Amino acid sequence: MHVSSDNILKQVADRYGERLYWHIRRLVVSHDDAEDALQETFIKVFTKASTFRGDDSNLEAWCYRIATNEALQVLRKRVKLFQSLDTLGGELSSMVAGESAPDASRSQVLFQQAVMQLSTTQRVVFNLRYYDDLSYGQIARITGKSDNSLRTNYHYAVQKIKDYLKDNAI
Amino acid sequence: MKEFDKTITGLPYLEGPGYVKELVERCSENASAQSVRANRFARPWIYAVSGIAAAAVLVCALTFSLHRNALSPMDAFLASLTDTEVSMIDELPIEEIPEYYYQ
Repeated sequence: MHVSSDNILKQVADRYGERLYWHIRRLVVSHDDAEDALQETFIKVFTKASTFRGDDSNLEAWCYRIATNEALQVLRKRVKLFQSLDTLGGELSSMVAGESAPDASRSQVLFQQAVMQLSTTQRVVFNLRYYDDLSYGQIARITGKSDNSLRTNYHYAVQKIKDYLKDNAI
Repeated sequence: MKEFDKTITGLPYLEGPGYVKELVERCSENASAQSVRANRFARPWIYAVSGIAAAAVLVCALTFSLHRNALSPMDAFLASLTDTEVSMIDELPIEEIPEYYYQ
């Protein structure tokens, strides 16, 4: 069945738009960067719509995959050449405080800062599993990692967050 | 069963659901418009670049051909000379070089 690029983009925006925005935002922290990355995601969805083959669950994974790549692309611009994205933890942590609403609770800010201490893979897996309630199967399709590796990453992510919160007295 | 208390896992950011919904619509419209525009601009560019490349190839081919034709009598003349005669030409004053006789 042929579906036009406009139709696919509309479907994606209606069904996953807000979730994609928040997924990107959790990774890049800055609202402006999240907006740019979301727009780039939609452009990619539009231009590559003709190459998409699959059903609704594949569409969701496909969109998340594009959005994740765009978010990581934003993060790559913040590091020097050959520097790992994992070194951004401190910077992202400070950004969380800067981007938070004036009336945001300290525990919410601290929780996001704890998430920012995770490695990039752990952060992606944790966010997709915890916030977006995606199954390991879906996350595997998005990240290209094996089920076992995802479970391990999630387990360590939860442990690291707990430790961080404990160290910072929550 | 979630591992953390719901009260601490909420995002501390300012943007509310209504704002994000509008933002998604705006991004979607922009993306659609930008992609269509990029496509519309890309096609004439492809035609223009292909046209210029074809014209360049044609001009090169014609120039080479004309150049070859222009040199043909001289080539023929030089080919008819022996090595000694060619080296003698080297010693001729400019006005005596056969090429100038032809003009």
